[in-house]
Amino acid sequence: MFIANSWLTYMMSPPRDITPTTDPTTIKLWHAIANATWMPINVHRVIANVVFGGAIVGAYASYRFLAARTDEERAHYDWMGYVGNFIAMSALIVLPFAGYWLGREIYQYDQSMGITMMGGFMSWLWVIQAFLIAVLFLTGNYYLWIGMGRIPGAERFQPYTKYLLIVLVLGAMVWGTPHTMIADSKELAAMGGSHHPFLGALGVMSAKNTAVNLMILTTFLSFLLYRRANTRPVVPWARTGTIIQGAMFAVAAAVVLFYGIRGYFVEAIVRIGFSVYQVLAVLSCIVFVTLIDILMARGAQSLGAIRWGKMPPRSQYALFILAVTFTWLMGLMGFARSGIRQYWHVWQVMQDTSKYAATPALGYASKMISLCVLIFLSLVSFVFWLGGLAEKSTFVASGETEKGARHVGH
Amino acid sequence: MWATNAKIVGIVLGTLALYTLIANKIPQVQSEVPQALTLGANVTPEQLVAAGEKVFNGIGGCPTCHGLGTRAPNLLTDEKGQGPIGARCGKREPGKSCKQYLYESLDQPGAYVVEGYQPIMPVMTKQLSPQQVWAVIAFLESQGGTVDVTASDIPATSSTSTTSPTGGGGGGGGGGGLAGGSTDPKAIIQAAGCLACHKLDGQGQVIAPDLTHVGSRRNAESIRKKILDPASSVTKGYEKLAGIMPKSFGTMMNAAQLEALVQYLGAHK
Repeated sequence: MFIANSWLTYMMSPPRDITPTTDPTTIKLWHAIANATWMPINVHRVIANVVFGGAIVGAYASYRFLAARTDEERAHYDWMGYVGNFIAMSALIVLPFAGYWLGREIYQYDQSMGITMMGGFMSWLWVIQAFLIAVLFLTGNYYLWIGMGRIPGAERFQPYTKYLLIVLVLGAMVWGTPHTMIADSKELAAMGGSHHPFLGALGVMSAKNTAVNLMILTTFLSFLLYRRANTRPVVPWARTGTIIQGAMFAVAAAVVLFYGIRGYFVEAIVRIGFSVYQVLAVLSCIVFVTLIDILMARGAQSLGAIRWGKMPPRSQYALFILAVTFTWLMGLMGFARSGIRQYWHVWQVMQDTSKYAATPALGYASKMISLCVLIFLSLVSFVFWLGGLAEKSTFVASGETEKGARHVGH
Repeated sequence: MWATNAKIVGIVLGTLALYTLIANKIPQVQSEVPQALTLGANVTPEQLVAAGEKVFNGIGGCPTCHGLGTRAPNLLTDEKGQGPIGARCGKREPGKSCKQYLYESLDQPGAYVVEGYQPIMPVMTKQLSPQQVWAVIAFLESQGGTVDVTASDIPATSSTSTTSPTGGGGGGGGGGGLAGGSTDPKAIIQAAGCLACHKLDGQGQVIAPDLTHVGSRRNAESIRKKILDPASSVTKGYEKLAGIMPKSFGTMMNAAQLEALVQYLGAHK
């Protein structure tokens, strides 16, 4: 992947000393590889592949869960689906930060490319992206909240899920608010201005960064509640620890809100720097709250074992929606990354003005993305089906297994 | 089992259909490749305006910044009570007609940065052919003003390449280099648009380093390298502007012009 990334990032951001007149034979290989966006793309794709892999595992597990004939099978694939979703959502939480880094590098390399990406003909793409990520956050959390139904003790936390849902929905609405959309003269005249007088204020990066950081904090809180659902801490400082955890959440949210609001009163270059403080506040909260939680869980009293397999089918369909959405989102972001070069085969070094070099509109691209996703999922299903042919199930009826054994291999 | 399979297929297809539908319901904007624009000697103002509108909204990519009210001044709608660009362009610079002002703004965007905005506009005469440039000017004039661009403004030998026109009324750079191949450093500086960012002998902008005494801090070799490869070095204090200077000057000048320019600048001690 790193090798493939090297040539695609070279096409996006060739080193500045390479010009249209540069003799290609004089370009050193490593110099071309180590271009401005190579490492940001590498990191972004490694994390995204973890997300993607987790989601595909989750979808596979959900299919096996739905097709299971015994409680043991259901229990195993329920657990597997949970782990797949856990991996996907955990990696998803850090993915936006890698995205910020990549976006910043693109802007620093060439501001006009960054403007094309965020405010040019690609601008509507980010509204679609916001919708897809809203689906991911909402579906991922929904799966967790349903999962709490199979955990003894989780009923203590279930009343709070509606508040988490409100934060997620509000965050998704802000994130999906358009602002600097490309518009022609007729559209500008129809709008009566460049953007909506009220909603336009929610479409800027200050509001969007604030929204997504609060959504990440909310998702992390969902995980935390899920994790603590069937335990009761017994360490003497448990109450203090919980108060500190709550304070950390409050401080992180306050920092995010403070810089989000302050961002409206400073220049763009200062505002961009604020996103770093917001990210650091959220990441610090996640790290330290997790640390405290691990220490608090030592010797914790169990309120009962998780009843693996006791999940309604709708939870499994949610895992399918996650897998399809992650895959579609990958296609969309790939189109964005490649499309911002427009008619440049290598940015500002080699033009491609053939009639096939036009970058299609999002509607056409979306049809191609859907087709690719369909082909990909068909191939994955085929591979799993082939694997299933050779599978000799060793699941045995309840009572014949050793106590506690949940699964034996294939 | 078939019912479960059908449900799963339905969910997958339904999800894909939903995303595809939404993506098709939003405004569809395609990024076009540069295309030749042929305007005959009898081109009418209406034809120029129509062609200019296509360039403005298409290959020019102008609405990306102009019209949002945040990155660059509105051109098609009112800007701070002064009306659209056609209504205000003739009043922007004393002694300059609307046509002159618009051409120079496209050719040397750094020369007329409106207060409150950053100098982020690329040199459009390098990205568009002279025909496209003049069509855009006609379109902008039509926004609240009078179109006075005619076929005589458009150089007969213009092409669709990204070579820069000479100063003033345009004209192809051709294989002979900038300014018709002239080795007069001042003509080269004028044609290359250096003063859009640099100051030299009291003229030009102060966006990029002042070149009045450039010979005292750079030798001829350093100046030559900087022109051919702007990223090779960055003057202290101008790090934020790294990458702004076009790296295409090496392809726009012939060798004699480059040397004439290097010697001229090197003599500015």
